[in-house]
Amino acid sequence: MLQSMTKNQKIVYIALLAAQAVVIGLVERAIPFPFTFAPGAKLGLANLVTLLAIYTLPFKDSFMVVAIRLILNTLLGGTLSTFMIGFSGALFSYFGMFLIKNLGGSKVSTIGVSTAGGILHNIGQLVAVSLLYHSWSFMVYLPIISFIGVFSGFAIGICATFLMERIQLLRQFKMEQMTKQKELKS
Amino acid sequence: MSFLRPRRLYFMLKPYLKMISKWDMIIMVFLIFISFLPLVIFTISQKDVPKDAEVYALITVDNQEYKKITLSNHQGTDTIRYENEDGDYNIIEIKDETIRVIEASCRDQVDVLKGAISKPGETLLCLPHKLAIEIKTEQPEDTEEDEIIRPS
Repeated sequence: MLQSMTKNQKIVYIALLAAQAVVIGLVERAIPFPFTFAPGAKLGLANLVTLLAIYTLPFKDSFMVVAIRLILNTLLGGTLSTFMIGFSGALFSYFGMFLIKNLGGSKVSTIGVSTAGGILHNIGQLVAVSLLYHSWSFMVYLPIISFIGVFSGFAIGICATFLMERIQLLRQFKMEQMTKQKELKS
Repeated sequence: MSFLRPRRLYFMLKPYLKMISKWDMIIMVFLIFISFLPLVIFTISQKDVPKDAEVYALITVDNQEYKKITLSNHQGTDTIRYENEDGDYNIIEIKDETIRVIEASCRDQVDVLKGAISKPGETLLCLPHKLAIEIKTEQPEDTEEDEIIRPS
């Protein structure tokens, strides 16, 4: 019954995920954030799509989703500095989540992976800001932003679990990915 | 809105709360711990600065020094208007020993929302205009502070 994705299906799936990530990112940008004590803090909803990509696609393809999202988001109203900040944040969180998911295996749940992704995203962004401005004083915001990151990562983890349980296609892709990885290991 | 009642919310979230494993907690605690490190390093390095050191605000644009304002013993209110070639502007106000941005032509207004700053190490940022205001102290410690914070 389980038939693996055809090449075209995969391309469409990657494109869909990337498009969703871009739209979620744009919607999120339109929400004004009420906290003045942590400038630049965001919910990180685009993390949800990255998480789904990591769980349902092999490394090469999930990386493609993240890369497309970054490039499109920059083209849709971003500057070079916002691109560099977003780039560093997204790469940090992507590789962090990928490593934790693959090293942890069944010991780490979706919630743990997404929380780590949220915090690493902030760390990556602040490192980029610090490098751009040659000053490390912005790192002081990190604890506050990390706490917000834990809560949003928790919510996004629950969301991703829910989606992967209830949407049949996502469930199927996830199972495929898991069996593929088991084959690789054995 | 029945799901807003705490009891109901708890029962809704229960299966997901159970999902959190030991390793999830370890990762979370570890990352939160890491995020406190810069703050700890900062407070330790700030301790060395003597109380009588002269505090000043350094305004930089694109990493080039734009203006240096002495904050120690400053009294009254001054305003500075920064404007670049594109017509974007920031209006900076120095009131007694604090400094803040009261108006900016950028979209996110992060610097205006942050309010006034006065302690060494605090910063105001305007990413769209590449404008940064940092509070520093005038002492030989200044260079040492840089060395401590930069990990490379």
